[in-house]
Amino acid sequence: MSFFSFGARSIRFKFISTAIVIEVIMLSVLIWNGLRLTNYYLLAETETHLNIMTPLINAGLAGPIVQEDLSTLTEILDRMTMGVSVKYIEIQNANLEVLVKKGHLKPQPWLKRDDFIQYMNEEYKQDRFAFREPIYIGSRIVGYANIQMDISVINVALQSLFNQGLVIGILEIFLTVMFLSLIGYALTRHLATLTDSVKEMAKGDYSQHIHVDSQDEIGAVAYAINHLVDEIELNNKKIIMQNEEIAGLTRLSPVGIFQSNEAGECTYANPRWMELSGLTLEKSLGEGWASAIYLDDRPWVYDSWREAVNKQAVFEVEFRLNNHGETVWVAVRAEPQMENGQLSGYIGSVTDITERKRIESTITALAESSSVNDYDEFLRNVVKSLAGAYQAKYAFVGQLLPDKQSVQTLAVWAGDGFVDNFVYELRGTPCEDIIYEGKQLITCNAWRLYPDDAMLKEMSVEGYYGAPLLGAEGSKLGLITVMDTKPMELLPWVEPVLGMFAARVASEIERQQNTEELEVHRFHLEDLVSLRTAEMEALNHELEAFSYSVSHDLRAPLRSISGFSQALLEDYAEKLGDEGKDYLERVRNGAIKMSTLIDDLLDLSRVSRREINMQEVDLTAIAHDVIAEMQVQNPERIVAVSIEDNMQTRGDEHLLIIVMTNLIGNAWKYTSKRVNASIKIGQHMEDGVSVFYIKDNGAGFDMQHAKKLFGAFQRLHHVSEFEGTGIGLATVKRVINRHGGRVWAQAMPEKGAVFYFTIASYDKDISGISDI
Amino acid sequence: MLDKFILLVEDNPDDEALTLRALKKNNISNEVHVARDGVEALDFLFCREAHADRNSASQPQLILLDLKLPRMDGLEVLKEIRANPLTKLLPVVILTTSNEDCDVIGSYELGANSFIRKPVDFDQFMDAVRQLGLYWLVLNESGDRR
Repeated sequence: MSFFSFGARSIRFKFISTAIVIEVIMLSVLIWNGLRLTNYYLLAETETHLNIMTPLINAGLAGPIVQEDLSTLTEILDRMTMGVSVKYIEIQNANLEVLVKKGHLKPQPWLKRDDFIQYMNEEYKQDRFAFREPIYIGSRIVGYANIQMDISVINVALQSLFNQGLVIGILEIFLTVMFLSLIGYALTRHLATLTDSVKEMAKGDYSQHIHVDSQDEIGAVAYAINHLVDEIELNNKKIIMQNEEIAGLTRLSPVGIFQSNEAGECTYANPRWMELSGLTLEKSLGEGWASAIYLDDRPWVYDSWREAVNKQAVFEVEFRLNNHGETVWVAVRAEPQMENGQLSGYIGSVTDITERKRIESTITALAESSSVNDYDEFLRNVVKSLAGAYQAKYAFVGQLLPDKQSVQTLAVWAGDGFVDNFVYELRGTPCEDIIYEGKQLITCNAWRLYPDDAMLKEMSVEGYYGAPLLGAEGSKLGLITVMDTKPMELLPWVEPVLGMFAARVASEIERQQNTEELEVHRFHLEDLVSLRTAEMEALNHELEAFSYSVSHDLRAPLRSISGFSQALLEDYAEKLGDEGKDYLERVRNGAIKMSTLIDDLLDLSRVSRREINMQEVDLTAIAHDVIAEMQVQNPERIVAVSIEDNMQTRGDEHLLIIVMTNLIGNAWKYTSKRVNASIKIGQHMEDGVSVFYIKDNGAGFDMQHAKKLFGAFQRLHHVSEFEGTGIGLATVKRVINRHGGRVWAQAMPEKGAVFYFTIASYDKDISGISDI
Repeated sequence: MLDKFILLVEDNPDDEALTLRALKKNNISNEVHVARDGVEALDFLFCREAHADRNSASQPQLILLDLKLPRMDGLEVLKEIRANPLTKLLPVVILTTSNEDCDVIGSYELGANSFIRKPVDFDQFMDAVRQLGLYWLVLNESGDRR
């Protein structure tokens, strides 16, 4: 038994063993101290003896040694050895020759007398102490007395003392054990009683109280235990009562409750389960419960139950039961019960969710019906879903007619199909109350409550649920109604679901009304647009006729003025005189200038009227043509012209020719006073867009007038300086605008000008862009 | 040259005078018959109404046709000329104030042989008439002569 298990030993053992250990220690100390003291006194005695003996020896032996009187020495030796303490003695002369000796010599070194105590402490096991005592006469050593003393008597004395102490000690320990055992028994007797009683209680017998009559601590413990036992017994009774209550609840529970063992086999099911499943308890036990599951659901429900049991996981599913042909939707939830880390079984509940499933499917049907685009189909879906949801025979949607006195049905479900729509009077019907007083939830006797409603009576309507259809702004649109020939149950979901249908249908009816209204507006709008278009076309025709007329008729008189002026100048020159000729010349020039103006204005109006015909346009080629034409008109001009190659764009070629002709013509015109005139035509890229430019070193202009540049009839130079009508750049701008591009200029007076333009890079019909 | 007369279809007396002067100035001395509108021009060509007694075999060497005419406009007249086998090969030069695309294109489509814009600047017109006379009256032999 190891030391460490000491704490586990009985109190009696601990008590006695502790006492023995203490006693042994005390006795050992006592014996050891006795031996030590005895030894000390014996040695002190012997030393004193030696110290007294030595001068006597010296006095007795000195003379005979010197005289070498051997007989006297022998006599002295005899006397000395008569005491038992001297075992051997010899007398030597100064030359260490032995004169006489007596006793038996034990060979061991000769020490000095003073070494006695030290020798005894170190060599206490020796039985002799051997020492040499010099013999003096005066201060001269005349010889030696070598003596071996018997010291065994000291050891013998100590040994006997030790033996006696040991005997007394053992006796005492024995007595102690005996005594303590008696006391220990008296103490632990009650404890043992306590232990036995508690062991009995652990077996479940709480009726036995502990009988301990002692008033000591053990008595207090016993009292406390008795009290504890009473409490436990009380609690047990409570638990038993609670268990009975739980069992009662389980029996009465509106929810099915079941238990299974660790293998997943049913061990208990409450009566509600039997109601839901239609199975008896016996048939539900083990694996029998699965036979109540709807055939389609059975395999997957059973598999997932097995999987949950294997994984010791929570089992939570919704499925259908087949209760003798009636479908019952249930939600099952079972939780694993663990005991010491091991699955001990499952406890689960089975809730009837048939109603919820019906609402769900109703709402789903409503949601699905919403996805139907066709208005009539939507309404038919609604009444069919409604009848299905309420398990009612009839359902219809009615729209209040403008007279507010009658209703036009929009969709009617009757029994097993749709029937034709009809109109009926509101007066005296529940429908009237629905529309003007709000919802109606009549569970039975509907036809008796409204005796004036012949239709209700004819259909013998018992249950009648209806809700008004209200527009977004509260307007009364109509109603939806569900009717049955049986009384209808007023379940909690009945009203909200009806409300939901009503809201959905109302919004659809309103949407339909809006659509119809929009359609009317749309037709009106289309009429308006075609009317306006016709007007615009007429105006355009008028404008074209006007232009045509201007082009012909306005010019004819000018031609007369100019032509006959010319005729006068030629045929009657001599009669006119120089002044007359000058005046006629001015008349003629005026007519010509006006003609130019008319031409330019016609160009400008044509730019706006023309349809844009998009095509690939080679601006380089156009520039070359324009320059060549200019050169033909002014063969005397020397102009350094540079035209970049490959300037391609998309646009209306005819209009772009007008642009290039105008811009290059301007450059040509405004460089006319330059000796080293130069014109550069090119392009560069800016933000991914081609920018074309016509640059000259001509007269230029002040940029502060740049805004006026592209307006019609705006001129920055006097006609006397440079000819022009001020329409060319307006035309350019109009063409570029119609191409979705941009035109701008940079110039300085007398330093030349640069005109830039872009053409929209996108390839689409931009003929609509116009600034007429 | 005497039978090589010109038919000028022109409603504006000023233009008529100026044209006649221009022809004269350019030494084009052919006889010029003037019609004041489209209907009259066609009556003349097809020997109808007032011109019923005219010999239809005698046809102008050149027709100078204005487009903007009362009663029947120039393009319609041109269409009639080209539709009739009697006149369909006659050279027709359109003389007009307009330079509208529709007029130019329409004229050529209907079979005009040339198109002259009547410029306000009379010098230019003189020039154009001179070239016209050279080409159609002197150089180019009319189709019915071939």
